[in-house]
Amino acid sequence: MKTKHKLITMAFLVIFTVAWNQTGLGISSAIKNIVSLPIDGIRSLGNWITGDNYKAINKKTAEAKKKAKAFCDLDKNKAIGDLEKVVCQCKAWAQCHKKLCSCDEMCPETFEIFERPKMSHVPDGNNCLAFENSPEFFIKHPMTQGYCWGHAVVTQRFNRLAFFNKKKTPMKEGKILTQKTTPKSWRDFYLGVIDKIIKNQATEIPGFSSLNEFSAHPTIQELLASRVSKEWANNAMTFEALNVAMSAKPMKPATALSLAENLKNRIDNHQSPLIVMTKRDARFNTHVVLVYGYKEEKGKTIFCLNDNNYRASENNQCQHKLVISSQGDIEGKGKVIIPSGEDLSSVKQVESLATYCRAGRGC
Amino acid sequence: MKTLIFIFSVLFSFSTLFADETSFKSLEKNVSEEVSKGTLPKDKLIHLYLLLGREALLESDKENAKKYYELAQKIEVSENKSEAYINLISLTKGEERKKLIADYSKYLEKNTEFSNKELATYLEYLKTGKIDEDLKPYLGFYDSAEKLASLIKAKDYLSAYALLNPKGIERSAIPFKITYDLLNVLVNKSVVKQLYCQETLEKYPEAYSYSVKICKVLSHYLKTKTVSKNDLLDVQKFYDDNPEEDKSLFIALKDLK
Repeated sequence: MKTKHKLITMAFLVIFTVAWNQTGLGISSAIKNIVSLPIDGIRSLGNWITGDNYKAINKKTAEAKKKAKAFCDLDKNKAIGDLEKVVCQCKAWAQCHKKLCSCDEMCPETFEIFERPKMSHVPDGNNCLAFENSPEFFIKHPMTQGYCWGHAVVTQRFNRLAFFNKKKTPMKEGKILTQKTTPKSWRDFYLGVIDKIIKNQATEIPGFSSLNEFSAHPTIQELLASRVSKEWANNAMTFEALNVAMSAKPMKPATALSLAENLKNRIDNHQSPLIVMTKRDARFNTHVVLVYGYKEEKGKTIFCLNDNNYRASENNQCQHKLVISSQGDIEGKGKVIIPSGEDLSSVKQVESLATYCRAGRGC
Repeated sequence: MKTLIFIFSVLFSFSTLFADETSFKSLEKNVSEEVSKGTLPKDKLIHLYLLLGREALLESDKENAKKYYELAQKIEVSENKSEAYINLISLTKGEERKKLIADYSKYLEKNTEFSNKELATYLEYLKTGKIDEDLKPYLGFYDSAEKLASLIKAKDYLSAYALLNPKGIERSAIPFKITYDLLNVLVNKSVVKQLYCQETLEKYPEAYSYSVKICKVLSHYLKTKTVSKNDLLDVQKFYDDNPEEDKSLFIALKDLK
């Protein structure tokens, strides 16, 4: 074989082998490590691959935060063109020219991508579903928790991944869809949109300006209500969920303090994490809510909850709280967790949002 | 040289494709390699299968979740298999589910160290459908929803209506409102003064929504004490065009006379 051809063949083999092993190397060594652990160590492993992926992004986010965010130079902007904003900072979702801000800066694959412009995690009505969880729908079980898990998941996913655009109209194969002329296709279009969001894909939603307006429409509300009950069913009867429901005694202080730090980290990283919590000494009295903020006060951390049994106006002043003392006591609660699905969803959402962001910036 | 550069760039594109191979598939492949060595003790093997089941469940990959939880369940070992049983129960229906519930009960009878009062309460509900007071906050809503659906299918509209709480309707989603309204009218006929769906009907009269279409029938009925055939046909068309939707409300609606 001629030398040139030998070189090409070798390059192919090396790159093929390296590329093939690129994903496998980390997992392969991790499996070997797990197998070598004593049995107690293996028993305590929770979700694992997804947990590690989340940690990796968390680390990357922390490193990215250390770097100062450059401002675009006004003169340079003028030199490039009128379409550029006068002042622009190189951060997530910036609309800067690629010569001034890199794609990695504008569309980072870190939790910075969750900091979407004009989006608030504080319940403000617009970012809420137009219906509450219905815990008191049934007279015989007035104090149930309804389908709270499903309501929280749907709310969170839409707030992270939905890009409402009232000026656009739904289209299929180049044709405009309307309720009047193509009602079934119109409905099916939005069913597809809802499906994508629930599957952690950033998606544009034409024809509506907010989650509240979107979910107020009865066609959409039926689809979303169905999704809420499905997401409840997918989560509430799993081993992880039941484990929380059955655990009404206080958690160990170290575990509670670790939870507090974890929640603060997620909120600082522009997330509104979902938590599952059981009332102290009341097993099966379990509820699922979103956490949108926190404040430190007199030896305790107060987490503000978006409780789906209430309206936005009943949630937006931290009326519903999770309080964790500096001694590691969670007031009035037994077990409280951030469920495993949060990590996997967040990882997928970061990837999807970064891709969506880049597509809109020619990256 | 140009050929080499071209090939490198093509292959680096391919390397990105390989890097996108799902974590689950890679995890599965590596676990399989360990298992095939034949040296893994059973108490560690079960945990690897549980890990795979867990990861698949998180990915909503029900097929693989079931596969690996079943593998974990079948290993003869003293490790706690509750995760496998409970998640398999949540993934299955019908006779398969009933068998799993029965098997899990037997498992806990033999392995009392993994049992507790709470699990017993939960299993009792799964076996008998009778819900303990303690369990009501957690599964009471689901339990009532199942009972409601059964009663509507059995055309016992009075018992179905008696399950509902009018105070809990106002802030609920439209499917809950229309269920209440329909049962209210079926039971109390034209005595009914208020429909919870009325506001939505007035705001979205032409909405392609089974709730709005059913509400139209009910609203007309309350005004005229008759069922509009055209409106009823419109409801039927919705369900004909969307066969995946549960028809039980429509079937009940046809009993309105």
